[in-house]
Amino acid sequence: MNYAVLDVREWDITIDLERGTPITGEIPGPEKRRLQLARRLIKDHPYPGDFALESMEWVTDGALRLWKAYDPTFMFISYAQPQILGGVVDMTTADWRRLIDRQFQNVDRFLAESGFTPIIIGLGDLVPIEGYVDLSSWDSYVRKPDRLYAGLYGLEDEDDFSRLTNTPGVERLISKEDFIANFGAGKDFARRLPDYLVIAKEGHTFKTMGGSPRMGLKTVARNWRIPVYTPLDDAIQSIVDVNEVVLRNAGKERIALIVLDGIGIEDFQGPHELCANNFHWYTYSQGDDSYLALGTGKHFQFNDYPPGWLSFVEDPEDKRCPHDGYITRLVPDSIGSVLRKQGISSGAVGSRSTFTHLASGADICVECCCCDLYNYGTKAVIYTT
Amino acid sequence: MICNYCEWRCDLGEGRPGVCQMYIQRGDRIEERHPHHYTTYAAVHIESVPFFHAYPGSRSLQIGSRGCNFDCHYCSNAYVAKSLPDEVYTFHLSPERIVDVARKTGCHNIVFAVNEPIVSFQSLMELADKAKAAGLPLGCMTNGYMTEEAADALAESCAFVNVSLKGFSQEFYARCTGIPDFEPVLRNIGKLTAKTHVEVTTPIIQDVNDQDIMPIAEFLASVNANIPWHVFRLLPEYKMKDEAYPSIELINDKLEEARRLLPYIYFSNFVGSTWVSTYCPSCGEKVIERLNLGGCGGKMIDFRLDGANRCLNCQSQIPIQGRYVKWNSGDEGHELCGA
Ligand SMILES: [Zn+2]
Repeated sequence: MNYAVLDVREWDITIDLERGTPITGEIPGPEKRRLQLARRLIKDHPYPGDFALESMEWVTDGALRLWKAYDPTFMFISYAQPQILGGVVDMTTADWRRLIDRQFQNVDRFLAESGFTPIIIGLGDLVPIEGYVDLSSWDSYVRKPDRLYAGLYGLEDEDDFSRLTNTPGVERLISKEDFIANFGAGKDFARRLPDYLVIAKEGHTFKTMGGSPRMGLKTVARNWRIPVYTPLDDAIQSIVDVNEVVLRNAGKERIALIVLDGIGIEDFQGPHELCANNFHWYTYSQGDDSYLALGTGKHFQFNDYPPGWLSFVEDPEDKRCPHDGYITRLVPDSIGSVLRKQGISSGAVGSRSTFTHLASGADICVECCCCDLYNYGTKAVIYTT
Repeated sequence: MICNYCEWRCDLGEGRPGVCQMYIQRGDRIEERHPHHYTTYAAVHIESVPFFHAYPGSRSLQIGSRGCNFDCHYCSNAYVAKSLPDEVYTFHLSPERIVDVARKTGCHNIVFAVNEPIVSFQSLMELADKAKAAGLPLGCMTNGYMTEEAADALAESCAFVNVSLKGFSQEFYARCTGIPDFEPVLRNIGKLTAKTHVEVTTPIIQDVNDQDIMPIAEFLASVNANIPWHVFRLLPEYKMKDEAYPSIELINDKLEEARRLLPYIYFSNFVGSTWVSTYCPSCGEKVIERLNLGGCGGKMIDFRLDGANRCLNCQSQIPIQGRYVKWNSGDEGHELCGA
């Protein structure tokens, strides 16, 4: 069984991660020790909130605590604050520079204290929002946190097609059939793919059913390449290569994969290379697409969740992993689960809520428990499978 | 001219905007400034709105406009409720289009939540007509500060209403919501309960209104002891960001006492809450099991009542509006979801 501890300050509960229900029976010895460790850690270390700059230190301090207490060989560490704050808070250039400096100071502090060999990847830049593409008159859907892609259903008329293609802010439209013929797709991805995908031009985002009413100031860039740094000899040519580099080296030395949301070529500090952040015209959008690409080493269409998918349809009473949003099963080939089979220990800390445990699959994961930027508390996940 | 939708009864003469800023006087009529404009529409579990005793298991098309006639210091939706026009995006959705979307996305009903429906009342009433014609029950969340006329119209149009009763003292209401008199809220809870399905929600802020728990329970019991009461542990947001986090154990101790008066008390708005399931008051059996996934309300994961909403163990009637439906039962044959 896999477990989660939900801590809402002054109160916590341990649940079965896949069923979502409270644990009532006795927990086996080794799992119990990990659970107790994680439970204590999050109790003493509550998440400050998505809008708090201190949440960057929360990640670093949590990662150091977890390292000292559990001594994992691999660590997955993700910082979401640059993307969250950069997207909705009106900041001066000087404020933004200070935030970026603080972000890299946190990375440096973790590495200096822990001595892990890093792979640091910036998931991409943010760009000012120039306009919204209102799809509400079409049968369409945006699956949060998508911003660059929307799903469109039942488009039959040729005129509708050209009208939509010529809508300002729309870069292209691709049908389900064309997508699968050109890109291939996993079984669940293909089944869930909307009739059409609508792709936004950079600086534009979609407004339609399922999206957030917030306006925001910036959105994710369409970055073809993103920065990555590692002192390891292995070449990282694409976002999907990171996974393999971790797996290849994790048995030899202690590796920390550090993921920086909202930081691209513009803001990355220190030496780095550039790696591909795309699959043909598709650019990764700092959502589950980027995280699962890192976690599984597979391109987005071979992970399960296409943009524009009507995720609510697959949310019946008995849906697995009810606390993990639209995710319908634990990621079977995440880094941590592969390492666990090789007897290599792992830990994760991140401020991008469920993506932390889903992408990392680490033995012990510590993450914020946030939804739509509300801070519900702090979560720990303990994987045993 | 006086606006008679809510109890502020604002004089909208000479271009005055009124408290909610959503109505305007045009000639001899009060009109909405932004009719049929919505900030959000999404398919959600009815239990997440929350409604725990209405159409269990159903999929609701949740809609919301913007604006509010309260200024709650702890508002968690302030960015919508108290927004300026350029802070949120709005869609124009005709009543026909909303019904169309609800059908195409397999929704069993429509619920106006997120912000106060009384500030978009004309749009809501037009939607009610179309929804009724389409056989889709309509519901809403409201703060209850509406006039008697509006309450009558709302009861007429809505098959399920969740009224937020934010406290039980004038001092609290004045300080935390800005209204001069909360008596109309109590009156409307009685009025609505007599005509439609009502659930009540109370956000509890520790050391601010937790002493109101028993007085509210006594009031609700005097109206109808079967009213489901949702108590929210309030997260400090908006103007109360710096207040302490409320203690769950302390609040729940007070709720234990209230449970003697009201059998259907739920305690949520914190992830993992174990106080969101329904128990049969007669035999104690867990008859509807729910999880709290963060936020208000919950998600139903098991329903153990018979077709007439009776306990499977002791056959006692559990008060529920409508019948249980399967989440995917509306998908069949619809172009978006029908597989
Ligand atoms: Zn019973």
